[in-house]
Amino acid sequence: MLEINNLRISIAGKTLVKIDHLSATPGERLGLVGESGSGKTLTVLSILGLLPEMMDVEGSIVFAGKELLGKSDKELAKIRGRDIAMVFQDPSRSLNPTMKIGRQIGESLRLHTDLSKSDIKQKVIELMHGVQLQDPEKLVTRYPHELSGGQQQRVMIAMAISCKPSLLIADEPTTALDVTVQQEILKLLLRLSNESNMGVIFVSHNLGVVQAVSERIAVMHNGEIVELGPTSQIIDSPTVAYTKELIGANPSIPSEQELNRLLGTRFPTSRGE
Amino acid sequence: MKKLSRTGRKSRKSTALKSPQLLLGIILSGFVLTITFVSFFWTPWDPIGINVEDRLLPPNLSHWFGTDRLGRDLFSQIMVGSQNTLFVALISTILGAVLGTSLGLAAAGSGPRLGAVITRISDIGIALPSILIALVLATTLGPGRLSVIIAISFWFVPVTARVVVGPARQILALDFVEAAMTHGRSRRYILFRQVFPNIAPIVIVQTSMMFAAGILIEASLSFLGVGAQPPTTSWGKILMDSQPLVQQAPYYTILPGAFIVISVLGFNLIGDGLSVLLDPQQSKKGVV
Amino acid sequence: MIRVFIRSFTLMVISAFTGSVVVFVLLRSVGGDIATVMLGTRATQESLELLRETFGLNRSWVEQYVSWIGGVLTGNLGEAYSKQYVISTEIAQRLEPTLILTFGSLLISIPIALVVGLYSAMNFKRWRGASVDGIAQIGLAIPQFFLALVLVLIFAVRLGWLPATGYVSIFTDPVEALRSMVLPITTLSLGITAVFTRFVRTSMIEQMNEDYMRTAKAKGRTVRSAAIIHGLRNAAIPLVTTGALQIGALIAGSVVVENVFTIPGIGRLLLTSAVTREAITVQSLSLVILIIILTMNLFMDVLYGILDPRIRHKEARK
Repeated sequence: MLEINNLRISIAGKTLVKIDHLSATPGERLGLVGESGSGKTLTVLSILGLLPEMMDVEGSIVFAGKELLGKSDKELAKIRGRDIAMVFQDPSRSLNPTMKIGRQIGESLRLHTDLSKSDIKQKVIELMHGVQLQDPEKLVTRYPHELSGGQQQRVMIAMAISCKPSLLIADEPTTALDVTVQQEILKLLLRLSNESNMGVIFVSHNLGVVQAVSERIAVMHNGEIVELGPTSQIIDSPTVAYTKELIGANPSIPSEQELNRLLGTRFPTSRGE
Repeated sequence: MKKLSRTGRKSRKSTALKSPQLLLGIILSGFVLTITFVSFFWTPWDPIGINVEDRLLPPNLSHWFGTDRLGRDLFSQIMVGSQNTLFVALISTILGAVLGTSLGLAAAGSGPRLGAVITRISDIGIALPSILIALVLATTLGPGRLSVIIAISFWFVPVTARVVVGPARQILALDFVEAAMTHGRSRRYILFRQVFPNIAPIVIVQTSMMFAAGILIEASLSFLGVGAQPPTTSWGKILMDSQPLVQQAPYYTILPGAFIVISVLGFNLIGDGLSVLLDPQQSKKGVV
Repeated sequence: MIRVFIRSFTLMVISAFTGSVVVFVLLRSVGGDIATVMLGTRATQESLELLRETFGLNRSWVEQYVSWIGGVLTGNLGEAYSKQYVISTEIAQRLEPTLILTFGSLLISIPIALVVGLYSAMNFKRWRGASVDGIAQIGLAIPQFFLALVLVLIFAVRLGWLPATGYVSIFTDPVEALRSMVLPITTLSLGITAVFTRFVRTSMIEQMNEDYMRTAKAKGRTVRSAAIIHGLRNAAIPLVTTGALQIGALIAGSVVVENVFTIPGIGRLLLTSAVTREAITVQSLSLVILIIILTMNLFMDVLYGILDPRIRHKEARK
């Protein structure tokens, strides 16, 4: 579904990201892990063409058979929110502080579908139920600052999945949240991905979190992918020194069974394992 | 995540030449200041030399700006007029800057109650436009430079205080100031030796803008007849005289007016250029 | 929301009174005895005494102030000492032109600033965007009286499209009223529009870099639609706070504009009474002007609450 080849992101001649090959199959949950500055965020931003203007991008990013790099802003706008959606790190800043929640959630629907106003309203309530937001009718007229961090992030997720994208990119979605809320959001993402066979690219510096959600993991360091493989393989038998360091720095990474116990149920992967 | 600088802000410009605004501002205001300076020693013609035969001549080689309604050389008039306008602006600005900064520092350094009171009083001062005060003073003191200076300063002081208070408070909250306090330094010491040098750049920018504003206000008041009285001349007064003659002698209005625009623009640009140099994010705080 | 209004209103009333006290004191403390000021140094003792009697200038300051404020509230301020007019009626009549002039200029400047500022922010790297800033800078440097004269020269004298002076009330003849107000409002709004435009521009550029804009783009909005739908309102918020500072400049400008265009408003009366030393008139006018300024500030405060929901809730929580 998504194929990245020979991606080079640079600024003023200095190369920031160098990825020879990375791909994701439809419905796959891919984890992208690395420390700050490893280039993981830049990489996913380049998929949607959201990189800052002064950065240069070369290479090829093919999604559903179409080349994304080189498309104009207008053309990309059609894909963003509809086929590929994104959830960002800090929901309190990623939401418009002066616009009501309901309107923000319905925005993608308004942009990409022909639904009537009342239909959109209904869909918004449904979406909010779907991300486990209590009392959606009341929340719809609220403003972002009136919601908790967890609620805000659920709103972001509702916004992202509203048009049923085939790929969801989540960039550090739980980093700004409390630990308990983190788990809930992770569970939510897993469930959503499973229900609609939606692919997820999960970006984080926290290996434990990435491990919980992904079937495959790509480890990034200094702008390059240093290791790539199925989750269990990366965790249990890492080959590269950097990966080992990363695992070492996250001592509380639970085993597969522990994970399942923590998260409640065993989620099948897209390959049906 | 902070590596993604979206605006691509260039690093602090190191020389004045890199800021075109500052450069232009210096050129323009330098030009005006030079002319003012020269006017003390020499003018092309005698500014009060009335020569009714030559009245209302358009600009030519001997009278660069033409002559006014009494035949006086307009360029010389403008040169001499600048003495008054700039003098008034200067005094008002100095008063405003000195008293305003002191007031602002005092407000920042005092407890929340007193600080709030001073801020409120400043707000009221800001709400009273100079022209209003000038006219009130004109009623009692009579028109003239003194009224104008008092009126302009009356407004400059609270405006400066307002601008100074916020940053001063922020600096007072910094660690090295706390260190000084535990060392037993007096409040006044802290304010003058530590806070002031840090807010000095802001004050300088503010001063430049106020000077420009002072020129504008003085010119407006003189135009209304409330500023400097004859025989002292000023730019505003020249324009006042030109008003009934605007059809016959448009240059009489346009040239002195353009002069005012150039001076105000020059000093505003200096303030703007400096503020960009000092803190690239500060340019939104347009004060005057 | 109501709370924001009440708080602002109370502050406004307090400020108005404080300001009136300032003016009151200024008139009596500076420049010597007020009766002499009004009549001049050559006045006879009798006329001075008569003046003092008529206007109660012999009484204590507190008494005078109270009776003046009483007069303001009841609408009876006496006559001008030159006996040419009744103060309260004169002021009331002159309110209409001044209010139309000042509010008109304010209301025009806001949409222009939003549109031009937005355009300039979207194109801030190219010439067309950057030049707006330069043009605004020049606009700021032009004194109102100069602009007025230039506009009169071009449009009234040379082209003859618009009247050079005079005022026609909207109630008398709407078309003529409009014609007579075009130049004055244009003149007065220039300065404030320039300030607002630069402000919107900077504010908008800042907003473009905010996270929520990125979210809007990620949802499928083009840069332009994201800027208009999301950015504009957020960018306008700091505009309101700076607007408060500009109001005073607007009023000051209206004094000049009214005089150049011979508009029979408050500003013109202020000048003429200052020149003829009508102290009571000046005093009352100052209060009126102060109230106009503070009302505009109040308007800005309320607008701030409307634009930014975070402020509304902050007030409610107090």
